[in-house]
Amino acid sequence: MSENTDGRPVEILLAEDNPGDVKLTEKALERGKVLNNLHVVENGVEAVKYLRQEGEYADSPRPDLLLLDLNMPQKDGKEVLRDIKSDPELRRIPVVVLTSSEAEEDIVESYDLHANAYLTKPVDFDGFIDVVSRVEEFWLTVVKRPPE
Amino acid sequence: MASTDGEKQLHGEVFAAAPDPIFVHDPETGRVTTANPAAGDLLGVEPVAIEGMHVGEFSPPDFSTADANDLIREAHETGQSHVEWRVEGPDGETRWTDVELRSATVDGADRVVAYARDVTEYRAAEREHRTERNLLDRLLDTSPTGIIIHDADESIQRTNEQAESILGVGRSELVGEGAVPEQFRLLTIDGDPLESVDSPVTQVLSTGETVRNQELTIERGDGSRVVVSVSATPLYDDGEIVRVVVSLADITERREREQRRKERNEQLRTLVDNLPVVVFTLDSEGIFTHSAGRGLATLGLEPGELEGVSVFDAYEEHDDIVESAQRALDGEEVRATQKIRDLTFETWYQPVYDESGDLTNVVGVARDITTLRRRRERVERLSDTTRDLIYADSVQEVANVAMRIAEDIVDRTAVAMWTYDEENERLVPAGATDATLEFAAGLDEEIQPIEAGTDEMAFFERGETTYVEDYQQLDDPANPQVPLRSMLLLPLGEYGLLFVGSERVSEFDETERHMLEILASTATAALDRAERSQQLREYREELERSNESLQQFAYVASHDLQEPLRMVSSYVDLLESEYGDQFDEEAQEYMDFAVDGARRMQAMIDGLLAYSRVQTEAEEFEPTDTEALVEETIGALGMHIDEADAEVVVGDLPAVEADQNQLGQVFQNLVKNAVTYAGAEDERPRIEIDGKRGDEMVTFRVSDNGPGIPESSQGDIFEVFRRGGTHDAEGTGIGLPICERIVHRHGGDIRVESIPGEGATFVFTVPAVTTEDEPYV
Repeated sequence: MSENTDGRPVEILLAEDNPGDVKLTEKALERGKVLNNLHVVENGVEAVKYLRQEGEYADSPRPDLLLLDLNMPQKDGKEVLRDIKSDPELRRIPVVVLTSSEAEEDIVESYDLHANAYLTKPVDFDGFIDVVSRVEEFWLTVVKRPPE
Repeated sequence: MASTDGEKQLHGEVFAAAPDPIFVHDPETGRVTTANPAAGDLLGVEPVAIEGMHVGEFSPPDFSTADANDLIREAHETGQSHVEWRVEGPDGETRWTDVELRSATVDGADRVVAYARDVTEYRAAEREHRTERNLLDRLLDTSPTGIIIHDADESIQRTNEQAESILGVGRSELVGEGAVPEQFRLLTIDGDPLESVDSPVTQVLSTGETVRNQELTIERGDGSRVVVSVSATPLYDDGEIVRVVVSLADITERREREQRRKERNEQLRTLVDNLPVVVFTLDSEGIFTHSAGRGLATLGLEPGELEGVSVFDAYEEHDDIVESAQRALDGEEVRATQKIRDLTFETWYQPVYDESGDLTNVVGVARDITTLRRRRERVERLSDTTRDLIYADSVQEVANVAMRIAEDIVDRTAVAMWTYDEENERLVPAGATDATLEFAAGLDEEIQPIEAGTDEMAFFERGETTYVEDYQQLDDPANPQVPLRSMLLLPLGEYGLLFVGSERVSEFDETERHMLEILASTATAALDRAERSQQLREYREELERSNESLQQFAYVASHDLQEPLRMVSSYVDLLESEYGDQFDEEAQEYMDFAVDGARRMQAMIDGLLAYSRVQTEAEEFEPTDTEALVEETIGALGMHIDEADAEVVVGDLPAVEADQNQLGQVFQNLVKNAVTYAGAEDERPRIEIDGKRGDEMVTFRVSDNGPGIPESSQGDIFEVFRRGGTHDAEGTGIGLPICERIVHRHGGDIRVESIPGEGATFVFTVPAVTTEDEPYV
């Protein structure tokens, strides 16, 4: 596993309500190339709180990447997008929508709400790993991330 | 007594001055003793020279001396004698001399005095007179006119044959009689007694003027009558009427002809005056010379009112009439439709010529076609609106259109419709025209249902159009309080009743009733259609809804199924990857089964999703190059084909109108199946793909030389998840159903032809390309 440019592990926030998918993502990220810390929130409300470093998340690190599921209880992915992409403090954080929906409206709306990328969860694990590693690679090594 | 000297002198002067030749003869000798100057002139000598001459010397050659002597002797003995001589005058012309001789005593001596008179002119005059008399007689006798000549005292002097024939009597009965002989009566031409002062002869005698062409009737003695035209003219002599000449012409026949003609004219006149049109004549300047016919009344004109008026003045403001009249006056036969106020006339103008080819008149007839026109317009409107009826979609729309049409056909009526409520066995109001609703509102009434047992219900059940002359006379009317009298009830099959009513009795004429009946039968047919179409629509909507929900179900189901399946698949994978080395054979086998199960599940879900996507990802049809598409498909299946070492033969593949993507799926599926199953014991797998263009569809065939499909399976091979075990390369049981769905979506059909042991052929049809557009892939 390589490191990112400044040597510290990458902070990834995963907003996902399905524990199965959480674990899969963890597993996939373990096998990935980039050193990372995975933080998980299970709904949109928590996601926004975490990003705003509110309450129990006051000391949580600011994520370098948000992996966002669309179907979450309380506040779904689109709402989260709306919130953070309109917040000047938070909108620079790259958001990759990772969801099981292939629906065109979901794709369109996500991009309309300024998601940086949209990915469908593959059905099998190998595929899953593949996607995650590519995300890593792209967003965490190839792409220039905004400064803090 | 002896004459005096004065007298003698006078006698001598008279003798000398006498204009006629006088010869004095000696009877003894026959010689002239004295002759006067006139005698000398006669003979062309001096009177003295004549003395001593013998008569024979100057008598005509055919008068002998002896004759002369006899003549003188006769005069001497009897006192007078007379002779007429024809003499050659000095200038060669014939002259007649009348000689009268008398015995006389001159100075005691016996003498014979001869007075000669030249009577040549006299004779000529006499002859002329005679000739003229003869001429007159001849004229009178041959004249075709009867002529009667009356004396100044009115008595008949002469008649001619024609007059006698006219009067039916002979000359003898007329001549000498008075102006009107007894047996005759004079009457007027019409047969009334004539005053005697009015008789022609009397008139002439009293006025002295000619009477011309007085028409009278003469009644003969036997009672028969003759109509004559009498002219009478006076003949003057010395200022006095000496004769009255009357001419008679028998005009009985002429009069009869005239009477007949007059009668005919009368009849014609009556005919024309009573024709329900306008008949008119214009002279060559366009001035009305006649106008007749009852049609004038509709124009507010009296017969003859326009006579003397120019058509160009009377109809100054009607350009069409002015134009037509002008064209006719220029010699054209014109037939034109013209509007005067709110009336429409159809007018014919016919130019009339005399023998020399000049236009003398324009004769015209104008017919009021306003009602006719209105009717025709109505019928035209009827056929237009009937089209609306036919295209009306729902029962209510048909009802509304039908009522509108009915209202158009008969004005001033109430139009309403009831539909039959089977459940409650009554006719329920389905609507009415606005006018009708206003009418009802005005009466403070609402349109009521029609119950069983009423007359209206009976009419409906009878199913025939019923014309009620007076509603108030019915036994069981549904709404007796409604002040309607005549009505038409038109049952519309089993659907309901169309009602047209009026406040007047016997309002609807035959044409209107007929049109309404046509309307009713068209409306019934339209209702039939509308109902069926409505049913069809409902059915289709139902189907669509069912389809829709099925669609949604399939989609949602497969989507929602994805997630748990993903969990199973992924974690099984994980298990294998992280703990695989800890598995024994048994455990590994369990894993494999689990994995396989998950895989199959996934495939089914994918299949279901693909199946539903046939609808959700359907694209518009466009011209598709089938050959290129199949080539691509074969290319994509390249690996499979190589592995199977299959021979793929591609024939003619006409272009089609299709959803390219979906058509590709069909070919992919069928070809993949074919490749998988093709091949027999000694045969290399062989797949044939062919296409043939029909009228509207292209039929494609994909065949393989595999084992074929058992007959029992052929039936359900296209059903979802019915795995026949054959021809299902993917093993999903959904490949062929997807093909079927796609083909059906295109409006085509798909089937399988297979004899077990002789391969299988899948045949499907897709719409052919209809335009000349270049298909593109």
